[in-house]
Formats: sequence, C-alpha cells, structure tokens
Amino acid sequence: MTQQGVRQIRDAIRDGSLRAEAAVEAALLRARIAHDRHAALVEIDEEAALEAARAVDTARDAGRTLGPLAGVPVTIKDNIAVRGWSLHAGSRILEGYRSPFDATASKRLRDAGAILLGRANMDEFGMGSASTSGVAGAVRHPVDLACVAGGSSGGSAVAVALGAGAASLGTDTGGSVRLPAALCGVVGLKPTYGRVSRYGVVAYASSLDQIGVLAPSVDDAATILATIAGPCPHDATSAQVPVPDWRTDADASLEGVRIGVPRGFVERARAADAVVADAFEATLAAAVASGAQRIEVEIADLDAAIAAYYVIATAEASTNLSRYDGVRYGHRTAVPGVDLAQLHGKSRSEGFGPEVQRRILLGTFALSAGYHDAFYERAARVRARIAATVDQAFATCDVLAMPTSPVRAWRHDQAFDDPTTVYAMDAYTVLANLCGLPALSLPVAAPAGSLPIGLQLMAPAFDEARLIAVGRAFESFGPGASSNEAGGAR
Amino acid sequence: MTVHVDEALLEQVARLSRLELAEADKPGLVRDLAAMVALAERLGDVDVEGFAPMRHPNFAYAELRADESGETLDEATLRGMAPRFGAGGFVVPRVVE
Repeated sequence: MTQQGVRQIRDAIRDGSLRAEAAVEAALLRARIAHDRHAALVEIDEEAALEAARAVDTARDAGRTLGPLAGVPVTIKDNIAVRGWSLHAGSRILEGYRSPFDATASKRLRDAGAILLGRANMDEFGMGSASTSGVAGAVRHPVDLACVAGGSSGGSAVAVALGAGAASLGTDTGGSVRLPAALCGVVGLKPTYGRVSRYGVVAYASSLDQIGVLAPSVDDAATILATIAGPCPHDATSAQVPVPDWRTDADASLEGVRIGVPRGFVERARAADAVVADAFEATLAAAVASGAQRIEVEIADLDAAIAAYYVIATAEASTNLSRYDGVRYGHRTAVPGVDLAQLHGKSRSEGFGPEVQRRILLGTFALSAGYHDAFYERAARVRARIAATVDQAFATCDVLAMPTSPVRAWRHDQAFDDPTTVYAMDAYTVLANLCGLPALSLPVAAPAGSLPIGLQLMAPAFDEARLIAVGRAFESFGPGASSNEAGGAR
Repeated sequence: MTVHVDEALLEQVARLSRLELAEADKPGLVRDLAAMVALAERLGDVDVEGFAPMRHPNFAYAELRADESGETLDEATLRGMAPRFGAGGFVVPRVVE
C-alpha cells in the first residue's frame, strides 16, 4: 500500500523525473483494484484521464507554464458534479443522471491541472457512517476486506489509502470526510463552513454540508484545499474570506500550543474501544513531551450533540430531498395509471434506499405540526448552546483534540440493534459541523496488527492555518514516523 | 415531551414525506422511528434558556452578487437531460386534474 502524495507527484512532473502519463497510468492500475476489490470507485474515466495527462506532458515539453496541480490524479465523491460524468450520490433515484457542468471545486482542480480519475463510492446521499448503503454496493476496507471503510466518503478514503489518486474530494455533513479517513488510516480535512463553494454538490443538509479533502498527509490535504477554497459567485453561503497560503505559513512546532481535551470524551471512547483511547492518550503524551500544554475543557454533552445533529440534518434532508418527486428530478415509477400522489410516493419509495427513507421520516416528523417546537426548534437552540460552549473553550486553548471515532473499523457482518447505534459513531465529528468549524483527522500510531486509529483536531472558524500547523506537528509521531513514542508501528 | 410512535404516526409522517411504505416494512420502521425519536427526546434534557435557535453557522456572511445574467446551459443540453421533450417544452405527468 504505497501512497504517493500530491506534492511529491506534482514536483516530480515539474522537474521532469516523472511523466504525467506514467503517474496517471500508475494511479489507474490502483484505481482498478479500488474498483474491483473494494467497490471504492464506481466509475473510472480512463480515456479522459490519460488524454489530460498527455496534454500536461506536451505542455511541459513545449516549455509552457504548468498549473499548480498539473498531472496530479484525484478522485471525486459521487455527490460532487463533474461535467460529463454520471452523478448518482449513491442513489438509485439519480440513476441515469449525467452532470452537464462542473462543481466549483471540480472546476478549480481541473483548472489547476489535476487529472480527474473517477467517481468514488459513498453512502446514499451521504447518509451513513460505513459506506455500505450506496446503490453500487458496500465499500471494503483497504486493509481488511471484511471490514467497513467508514462513511460516508468511504470510497474516497479507500482510493487514497490504495494510491488510486493522490487525493480525493469528499463531503462532510456530520463527519463523512473525517470518519472514513480515521478508519482507513489517511488524513481527512473538513474546512470551515463557507470556506469551499458547495455549488455542484448534491445537497443533504445545507447548514452542515461542506466539501473536504482526503489525502495521504496534512500537507497534501492543505495543498488541495488551497486550490478549491475561496469565494464563489454561484454559492451564496461561500464566505468572502481570503485564502492564506497554508503550504508555507505554518511551522511544525508544538511549543506552547494549548491543546484542549473535552472532559469525558476519552472515557467515552475507552468504553467503546480501549485501544482507541490508549492510542489517543499516548499521542497526547507525545505532544506534551514536545512542548504542548494539555488543558481540560468543558463542552456540551455528546448525546445532546448527536441528538441535535440528527434532528437538524434529517429535517434539512427531508426538505432538500423533496425535489426528487419523479417529475422535477429523479427516477419516475413505471407503474401505469397512478394519480399524482401515487406517482410521488411510488417514485420516491422505489428510488430511495431504506436509510434515506428513515431519515426523511425522522426529519419530516421533527418539522411537523405538534412536534416542530419540541424537536426542530429545540435542536436549533441546543446547537446554539453547543456552539457557545465550544467558543468558550477556545478562550483557554488553541485547538481541541479528541478521537475521531470511538471505535476502529467494524466488520461488515456486525449487527446493530437499531440505526441509532451507528449514529453514535459520529459522536465526536458532529460537533465541528454543528458549529461550522474546521476539523482534521489524522492517523496516529496504533498497536502492531491493529486497524488504523484517527485523532481529530478542531480549530476556530477560518483558522485552518492553525489546524494544519498543529496537524503537521502531530504527524511527526504518527504511524509513519521512524521513532514513535505512542506505540508500535502499524 | 414523550412521543408514542405507532403505526398511525408512521403513516401520517410517511404521507407528509410522500413515501409509500410497504406493509411488510412497517413494523420495523415503527421500531426504528421509535429509537430515533427516543434519541431526539434527549434534547429535552438540555437547558436552552437564553439561547436563540442557530439555523446555520452565523459567521459565514456572504455577499449577494450583482443581478446579471451569466453562463447558462444551452437548450440542446437541457433537452438531452429531460425524459421527454416536445412542442418546445418538457413533457411531464399530468399534475392538475
């Protein structure tokens, strides 16, 4: 499992030691494995990728200036539009739909010279923590095929872990970039809400959705983010905030960095998977030994955060997904002789999978007369309270640290009592979405033979620079480091 | 607020959701919805006195762009995306009886 980073490939193409065509051919070889064995990719655009790579080589041979990502192969989650590609968001209801335009993020990658390899598999509409609900089948873990990859951007995480592209764009509504990154042993970066345009992203929950990056290293993720971030005239929620150069303005020292660890968070992971809690503690100890200061902070109760997240996300989803009615968008039932209500009902029930239908039901319930105030309104107020406690925490610390997931990758055949058991996997990740804050998951040292473990860092709004700087420093005692104090090598 | 989730409530919500549930799926969905609603009921335990509802992360102030027409899709592309096209318009199922 060799990962070649974004900057490594780009620099090699630039200095002539690597042809873009060769880089793309190597990535395509791995993409086929990601597709055939792991169901991580649902479509590979081989011909166009090779053609674009040859164009980069021709440009270089002719001495023309290359784009900042010239020749770097990337994959794109199946809910981010790429011109000419199918766009299914893992759902049967969008089968047959082909996007006539590029999402802003796809376009910015393309304009920078990146090579778009193919579409990554996902949970239907991003609604899942395991990448098992997509219409193209369950994604399989890069190390152990019997295990899940995490979700909902599981295809992106597996593609990156296997080297099928140097990075992947995912989306993160409640942890969908960070959770699969943690479970698959790669870096997942969710920027501040509004940092990246959502134009061309299939909407799930509009006050929470954000495009994120999965990559082999923090630097690679930062390089891709720098390309796709910034204001966009097509998305009124994209923030008018300048994008700094994250690649150069951060040093990797932890000296004096105050790391806030929310009270009770590690204990919660310990109850679920002690190995995760131990790996987190060992990494924090290494950070403290490198000069960081550990501070205990008080943040809202995680069960309330999960409840607020699931009510808000499903309420917004029930509204966003009302457009798939068999007339304006999506699959239309073939059953003849139906009236309009039946046309809607049949088209939607045939097109949406069971988890999407469950979430639409909960969201509709939370918005319905008689329940709206006690559920949706209440959730929005709990959200405000949580955001206030997180704000307060940042008065005493520079970053927050916690496990990304309470557990490591679980087996495909593991049975869960009801959907809420799986929702608890998002306990640590939903906070950043509720508050709109940037967050990063990076792999930490795990015991020999263990599946990967992730650590999550969160920073104040629009301070990705801080997140990236601290994340880089943490990488120095991660699984790839030669001397690690946090445990055995993976 | 404690909500009793039964088949009548499920059917009411399904109707509002424009979903046509299969009879065989209903008992399982009542169970799942009850578990999800029970999770949501934990919101009642949080003291939210003094907190106004947060609809979105409120620091992301966006500027409206000028009201000028820009790049759009051409008619041929739009036609290609429609299941049926005729007499200069999209052909859709009858929506007014």
